[in-house]
Amino acid sequence: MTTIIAGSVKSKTTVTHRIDEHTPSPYSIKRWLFSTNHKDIGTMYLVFAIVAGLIGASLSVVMRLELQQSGVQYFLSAGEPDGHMWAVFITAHGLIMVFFTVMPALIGGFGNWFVPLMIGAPDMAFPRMNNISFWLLVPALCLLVLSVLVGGAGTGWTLYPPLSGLLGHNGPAVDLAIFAMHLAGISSILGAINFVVTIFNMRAPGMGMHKMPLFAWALLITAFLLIITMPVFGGTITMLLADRNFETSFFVPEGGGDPVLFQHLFWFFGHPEVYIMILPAFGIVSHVVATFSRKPVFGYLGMVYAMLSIGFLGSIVWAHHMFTVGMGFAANAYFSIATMVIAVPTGIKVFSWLATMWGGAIRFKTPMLWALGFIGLFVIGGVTGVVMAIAGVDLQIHDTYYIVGHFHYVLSLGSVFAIFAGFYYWFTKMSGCVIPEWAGKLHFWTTFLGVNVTFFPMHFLGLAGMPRRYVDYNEIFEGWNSVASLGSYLSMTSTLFFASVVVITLARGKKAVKDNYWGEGADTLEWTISSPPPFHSFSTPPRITG
Amino acid sequence: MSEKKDRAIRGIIKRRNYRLAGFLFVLCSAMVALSFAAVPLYDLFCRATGFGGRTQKTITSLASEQKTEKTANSQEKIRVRFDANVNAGLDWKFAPSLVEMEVELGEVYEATYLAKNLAEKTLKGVATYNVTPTKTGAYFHKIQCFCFVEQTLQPQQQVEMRVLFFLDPAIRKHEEWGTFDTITLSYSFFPHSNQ
Repeated sequence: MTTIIAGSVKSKTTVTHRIDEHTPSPYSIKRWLFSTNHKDIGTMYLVFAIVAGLIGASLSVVMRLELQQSGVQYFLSAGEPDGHMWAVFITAHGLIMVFFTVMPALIGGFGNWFVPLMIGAPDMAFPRMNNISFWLLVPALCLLVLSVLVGGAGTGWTLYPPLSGLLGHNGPAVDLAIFAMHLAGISSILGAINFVVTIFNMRAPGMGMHKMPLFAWALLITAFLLIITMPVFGGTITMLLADRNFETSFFVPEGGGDPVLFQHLFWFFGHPEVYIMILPAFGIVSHVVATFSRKPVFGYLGMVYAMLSIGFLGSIVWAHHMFTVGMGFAANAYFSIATMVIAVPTGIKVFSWLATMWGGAIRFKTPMLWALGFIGLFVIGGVTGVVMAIAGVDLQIHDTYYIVGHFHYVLSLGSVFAIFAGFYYWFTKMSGCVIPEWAGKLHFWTTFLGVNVTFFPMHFLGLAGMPRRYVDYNEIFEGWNSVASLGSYLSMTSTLFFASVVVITLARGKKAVKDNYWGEGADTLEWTISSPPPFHSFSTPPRITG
Repeated sequence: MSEKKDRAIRGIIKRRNYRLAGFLFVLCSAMVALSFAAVPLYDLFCRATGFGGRTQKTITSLASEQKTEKTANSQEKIRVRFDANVNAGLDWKFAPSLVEMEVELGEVYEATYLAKNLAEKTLKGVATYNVTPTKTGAYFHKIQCFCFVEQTLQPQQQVEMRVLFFLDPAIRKHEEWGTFDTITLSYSFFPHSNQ
């Protein structure tokens, strides 16, 4: 077998529909460790995200088990309730889900797989850098696990000082968590640079920016958000590291620093981060809705510019996470109004999806169910988002379960539903194996029921005043908490069912499937090549006409 | 297409890729630099605007100017309350001598705090401070304050700490003037970092 350097256009003579015979054996460690192939790296990202997602989900089920009843049943050390252990769990759950599940799945996984295919590029612009991006994530996750083993960081994913300072955590756990975030951050920045260069410079001839598929647009905007905000996060946690270890006082009030500055800098990254997690989801849902309505997406340009303005507006509203720090009336008013403005481009997207379906020949295949679920649940999360954008209301519900309900509706139900939509949409394209429709549908309905039962009651709990981040709660909150716990068991069962279906499907091997198994609605370039695609695709760039 | 031409095209794409990636790396580094620059900028912003209840440090000459301006204006009074806190890491007692006073705008007042070192060793402390409502920070001028420098107390030593302040009459022009009748000046003593 010859070593193939991915990205080289050496094989001019080969046709696009080449070959399985040049695909290296899946059992060679070198293929994965030294991989420079965008499809292999995408696959590794997806596997990584699924594994990390199962870990993150298990943590949440343990937490729901604890919250099922009032009183402390499981989070005990030496018979005493251990609030720190609880805080370590919520922190690990948050960090794993954000940095090691949703981002790797949407950006590293589907982004790597389908951006080059959709724009007709042979590979990413910098295949070796792509490899580094992925392999930095693994040590990052290891550092986070190590941090849990040495006492754990009980800071929440926001890492606010003084709790994350020496006052709250004087062991090495927070330092290790910071290093984990450094690595994960470098990984995403390198990945983002790769996407921007690939999308700007390597589109097939004839594919202007305004002809580019929406998923590629989504990844482009996401990548820019990452490049602009992730370095600020890196700088901020570096300052925190210095405060902890080198007696600086960036965020230490007695030394002239200000913990509120940390919050500003964190959310300057943290808020765009939530758009980083949702924009690729928008891209996937647009393709799925168009495919199963057998119509091109309604208002393509509107969709593109809506995403651009969401990206821009998302970067200038960060302090709506900090209404309670006392910024004053004018700042609160600005951040309230600017936040609500985001509902406008988001509304444009939602109505464009509805208009795409309007009059279409809709088929309710598994990916479409997930996409429809996404639209409905994301709208619920968006609406509660507008509620809490009002500074006066936020003062009441800040740090309550209403917030927890809200962000799980947009992320755990929004982004994750889009990940599943993309997974079922492209799984056969990526693997050549076919997941039975009944299994996908069963997975969808059980998850849909499970997550709604889990997260909807949280709004009631939050409005009733149940604060987040505590291991225990007042007995009056027990009713809805028990319901939420039951929902989470159902969701977890459904997720394990999904994992086994995927393993069984892969074990059963490839089926003979068409290039474009969804039919005429699927009109992007990945549907013009075989399923699974050859190891190297579009070595000769396709010509885009019309 | 000839092999030669093909290689030339590849070279051009490669150069363009490196140029764009270089630009993006620079952008990225600039954002890191900006995150560090935010620290002095934020400090400057708070000092200039009194954001977060940051009080103003004023020299005496300016205060007398304010005073003359005050006589021309109507006499309005506001209550100032004094609050004191000590971080658990510092074994001091710290309390205001007077809990509150009525002040006239533009007039200079002196308030005193009593601090006592309860420990059997010399301790250095430094006080952080702010006023609430935070928007009054821009109008709350301190001429002299124990909080401007670190304080050292010998074992069991008790001292009186002074703060000289006045309220800028321009506060009457603030849009929220009239929505509050009390300003709270708060201090928290922390142990100095190199004890």
